[in-house]
Amino acid sequence: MKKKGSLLIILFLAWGLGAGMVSPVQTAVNARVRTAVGSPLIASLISFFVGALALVPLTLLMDRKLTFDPRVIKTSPWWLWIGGLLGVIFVASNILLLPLLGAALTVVSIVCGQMVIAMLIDHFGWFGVARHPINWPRLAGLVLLIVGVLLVQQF
Amino acid sequence: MIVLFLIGGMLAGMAVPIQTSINAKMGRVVGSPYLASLISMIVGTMALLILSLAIDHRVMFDTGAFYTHPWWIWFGGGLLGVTYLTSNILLLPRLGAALTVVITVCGQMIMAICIDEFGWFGVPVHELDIPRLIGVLCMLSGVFLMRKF
Repeated sequence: MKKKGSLLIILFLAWGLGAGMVSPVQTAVNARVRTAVGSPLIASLISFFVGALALVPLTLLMDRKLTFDPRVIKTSPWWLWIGGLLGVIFVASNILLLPLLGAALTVVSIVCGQMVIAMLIDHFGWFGVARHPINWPRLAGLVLLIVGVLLVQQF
Repeated sequence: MIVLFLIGGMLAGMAVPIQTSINAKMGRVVGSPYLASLISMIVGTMALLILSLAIDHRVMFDTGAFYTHPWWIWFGGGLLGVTYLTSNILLLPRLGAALTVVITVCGQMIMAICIDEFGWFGVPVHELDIPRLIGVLCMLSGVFLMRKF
């Protein structure tokens, strides 16, 4: 049973690696759209709009529905619905910071922010995520990741 | 001044795992992680519509651009964004927030090195050297530590 579980985790890790690989390709493609339309905001808008359109058939295919019980809007916290705004903050900040910091420092500062908050989310179990306390090996892992990103970005 | 920008970058980075955690929870509330992704994208689209109008005073562009640029740029970015966002929502409850960030960052760095090494998408060629290779090894050791403990 334990063996099956760890095989599944490896599968999830491979999936995460693949999903991460998609991200720089998206940036490269969006950079071309940005030159084509002459505005980073309109380029992001096109990207989000196409994404929303693609999710309609995907949602229908996977879960056979596009609606949900409207009562959950009243019973859930308000911040549940604003995840998309955070995505926009991320995209817009990237666009603004890149010319100010350069590619290397932009990536490194963003990854540091991601790691710090992710460790806190796991540690405290925020947003209903399973709790996973911070310990020394995890901190060492964080430092290794940041050193790795610095090395890749600087050379 | 640069410290201010670095803090800005860190804050922007913090938006990502928070968004993923919120979306994962929304997926449970509305009963579908894909529907949560869709809601997130619609909210983002509306916010960008307002931002584009406020800052650029337009949401249109010269349609001549359709003929002068390759066809795949128009929906490539959106489809890849969906892959990234939806994968994150599905993986976070299974891997935890930290491991999800670490593994996707590894994927990003490996792909970035490939793009540089081969000069894909018109990027200038930048060959893989020893420091970059050590960087990738550092990151993979980081994943191992996070996974083990």
